[in-house]
Amino acid sequence: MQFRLKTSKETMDILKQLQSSTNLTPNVLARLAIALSLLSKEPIESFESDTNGLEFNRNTLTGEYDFVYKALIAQHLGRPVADDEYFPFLIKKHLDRGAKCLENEYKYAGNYEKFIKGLANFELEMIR
Amino acid sequence: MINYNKVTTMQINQLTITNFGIYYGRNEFVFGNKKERANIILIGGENGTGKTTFLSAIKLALYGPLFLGYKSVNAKYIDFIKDKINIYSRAEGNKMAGVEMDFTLYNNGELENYYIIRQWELTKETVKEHLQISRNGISLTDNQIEEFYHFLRRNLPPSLFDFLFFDGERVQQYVLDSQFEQNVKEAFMTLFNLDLFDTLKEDLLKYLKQDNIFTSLTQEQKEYTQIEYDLRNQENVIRNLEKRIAELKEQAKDVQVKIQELEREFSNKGGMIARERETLNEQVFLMEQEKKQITEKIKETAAELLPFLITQKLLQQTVTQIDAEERVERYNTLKEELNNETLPLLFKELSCHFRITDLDGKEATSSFAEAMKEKLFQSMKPVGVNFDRFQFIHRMNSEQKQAIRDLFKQVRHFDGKLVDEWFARIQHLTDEIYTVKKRIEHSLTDESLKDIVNKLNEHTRLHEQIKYEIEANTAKLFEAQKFYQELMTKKEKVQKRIRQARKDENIFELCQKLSRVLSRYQEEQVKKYLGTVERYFLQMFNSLMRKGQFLNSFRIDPQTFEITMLNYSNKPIFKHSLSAGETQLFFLSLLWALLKASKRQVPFVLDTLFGRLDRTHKENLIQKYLPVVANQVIILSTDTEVDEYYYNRMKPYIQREFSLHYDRNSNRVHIENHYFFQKVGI
Repeated sequence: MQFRLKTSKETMDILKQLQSSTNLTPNVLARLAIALSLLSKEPIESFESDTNGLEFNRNTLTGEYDFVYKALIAQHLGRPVADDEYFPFLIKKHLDRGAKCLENEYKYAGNYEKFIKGLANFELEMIR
Repeated sequence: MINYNKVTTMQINQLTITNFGIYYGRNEFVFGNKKERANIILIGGENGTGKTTFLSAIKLALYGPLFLGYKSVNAKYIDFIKDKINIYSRAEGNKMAGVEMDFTLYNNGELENYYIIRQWELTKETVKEHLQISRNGISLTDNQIEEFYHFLRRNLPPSLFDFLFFDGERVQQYVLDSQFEQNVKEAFMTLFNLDLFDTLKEDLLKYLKQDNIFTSLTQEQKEYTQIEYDLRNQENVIRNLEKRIAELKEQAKDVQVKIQELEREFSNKGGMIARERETLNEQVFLMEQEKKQITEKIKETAAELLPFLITQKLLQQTVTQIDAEERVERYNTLKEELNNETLPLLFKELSCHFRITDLDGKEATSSFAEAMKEKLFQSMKPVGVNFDRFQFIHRMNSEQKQAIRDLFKQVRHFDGKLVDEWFARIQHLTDEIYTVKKRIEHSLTDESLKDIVNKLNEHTRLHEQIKYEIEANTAKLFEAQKFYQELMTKKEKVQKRIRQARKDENIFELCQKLSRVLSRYQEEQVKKYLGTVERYFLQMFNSLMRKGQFLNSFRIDPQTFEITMLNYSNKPIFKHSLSAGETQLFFLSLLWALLKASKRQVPFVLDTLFGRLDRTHKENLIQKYLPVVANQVIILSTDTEVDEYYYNRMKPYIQREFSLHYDRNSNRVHIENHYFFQKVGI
C-alpha cells in the first residue's frame, strides 16, 4: 500500500503561497483543493501533472476520513476504485487539478475571511 | 544712648511711590493737614489696583530692611526689592525706583517733621539702596539715622505696626491664633513703654558686669552676678527653643494632614485606576481567549468539515449509492438463502402434509414452488434500483457506512452562515480589545497620579526633616533645662552665702533691690493700664454690638494676657464662639482701647473693614468708631464694600479721598482725588 504522494511543482507553489496568506497548513489546503476538484464534471483520468512538488503523507492528508475521500472519488467516477488506484494515483490528480481552483477562489475572495466564508457557503451558492 | 521717649503721635502727610509694584512712574498721595477735624482717608480701588502695595510702601519707607525683620540691607532684602520693581519701567531701562514719605512725629510735645527718601538703583545684577532722612529740613548723618532707627524699633516696631493694621479678611484667623495673646502682650508692653523696665533690668545687669564695678564685688557676688547673667541667657535659650519646637510641631501637624490628604487622594484615584486596570486586563484576556477559540474552531472546520461542505452533493450521492448497495446486497443475500436452502426445505416438509395440485387436479408442487419464488422475489426487490445497470461501487462495511451517514448528517445540518457569525464575532472582539487596550494605556499614563506621588514624596521628606529638627531641638531643650536647674541650685547656694555675709550697703545689693522694685512696679503698671484698657474695651464693644449690653465683664490676665469675657448673666463667652463679624468688632474695640489708654496717636489702617459686617454693625462703626479711633484712619476699600450709601454716611469724617484705577493700555495706576461716587466739580 502506498502512503506517500508528490504533488506537482505548481501545486506546491500554490499551497505555499496560500499557506502564507491564510495561515492554514498545506494538508488542510490540499483537502480543500481535492474537494474543489471533485466539483468538476470533467473526466479526471485524463488530467496529467508532474511530481516535482510537495510530498504528502497519507495519514496527514486524509486522516480518519481517508475512506470518505476514496468513496467520493469513486462516486465521482461512478465505478469501484481499487486502493492503489485511489492513492496516490487519483487523489494526486484531484489535488493538482483542485489547487488551481483553490488559488482562483482565494484570488476572487481577496482575504482569508472572505475565502473561508465563500467556501463555507459554496454549495449553497452552487445550488442557488 | 538709648532714647526712652515715646512716640505719642504720628501722622503721615504725603506718600510718593515711584516704579514700585504695580505703580509705574511717579505717584503721589497728599494727605490732609492736622488741623482738619475729619480724620478719614478713604482709598477706593478694585481688586488688583494697588491697595496692598500702597500699604507696603508706607511700611517700607519707614522701616526699610526691618520690614522683613533684618537690621541691615542684605541679599534677601535686595531680592525682595528687585522682585517688586515695576516690570514696565524695568523693561524701559528705567534704573530708579523708590518710596518717599513725609510724616510728623509729636515727640513729648516736640513737633518733628521727617522726610524719608528711600531709592533703589537697579544695576545689571543687583539693587543699590540710597537712603536719605531729614528732620525739620536738615539731613541726618549716618549716626543720626542709626539713632532714629533705634528709636523707631523701640517705640513703633514693625510688629506693633502690623498689630495696628486691620485686615477684615484675616482678623478672625489672627484672633484665634495661639500667638494672639502673646501679640497683644507685646503690643501692650510697647504701647505703654513697659518693656522699658525689661531693658532697664538688663542694663542694670550689664552695668554690674562692667569691670570697675565687677571687681569691687566679692567673689560670691561675682559668682552670683555671673549665674544671674547665665540664667537670663539660659531662659532666653529655653524660651526660643520652646517656641521653635511649638512652631515645628505646628508645621509637622500641617504636613501630616497634607500627607494624609494626598494618601487618601492617591488611594482613591490610584486604587480606582488599579482596580479598573485589573478588570480591563481580565476583559482583554477573556476576549483574546474567545478570539483564539473561534479562530481554532474556524481552522478545525476548514480542516474537517469544509471539504465535505464543498462536496455536499457528491457526498449525498455517495450516501444514496451506499443505501442502494446495502439494499441490493440484502436482497441478494435473502434471495440466495431462500432459493438454495430455506424454500426447498420448506416445500419438502409441507409435501408430507399437503398436496399441491393445479387446476386440473394434477400434482404441481415443484411448479408451484417455482411460481411462488418468482412472485416472492419480485415483491422483495428494492424499489428505485435499476437492477439491470446496477453496479456496486463502494462495498463498505457497516462501520464505514455508519460513519459516512453521520458525516453527511453533520454536513447537512451545518449552516454556512455560522462561519459568517464567527468572523463577525472575531471582528467585534478585535475592535473591543483595541478599545480596552487604549483605555489601559491611557490609565497608565495618568499624569495626576504621578503628580500626587511627587508631592507625597516631597511632603514625606519635609515631614522627616521637621521630625528630625524637633528631636534635635528637644534634646537641646532638655540639656538647657538641666543646665538651668543646675544654675538655679548654684544660685540658691551662693545667695545663702551672700545673705550670711550681710553686705547690704554695696551697689550689688542696691541693684538687686532696684531690680525687684522695678519688677513689682512693672506688674503694678500692667495691672493699672490693663484696667483702663478693659474699661475702654467694654465701653466700645458694647456700643458697637447690636445686642446692646452684650458683655458684663472683660478681663485680661496680667501674666498670660488671656482674655476672659462674661455676658450679662455672668456666663463665660469664648472668643472662638464669636461670629466673624463679632470677632472684627472685638478686635477693633481692643485696638481702640489699647490706643486710647496709651494716649498714642498713630496712623490706623483698615483693610476690608466692612466685608463681614451687617448693616447695623456698619452704621455703628461709622457713627461711633471711625470718628474717634485715631487722628488718621486710612480705609482701603472696594466700591461694593463702601458703597454710595455708606460713603455718604462717612462723608462728614472724610479728610481726603482717592480712587485707584489700573489702565491696562498704559500699564499705569491712575490716582484720582475723589472716591468712586463723588461727582467731580461738586
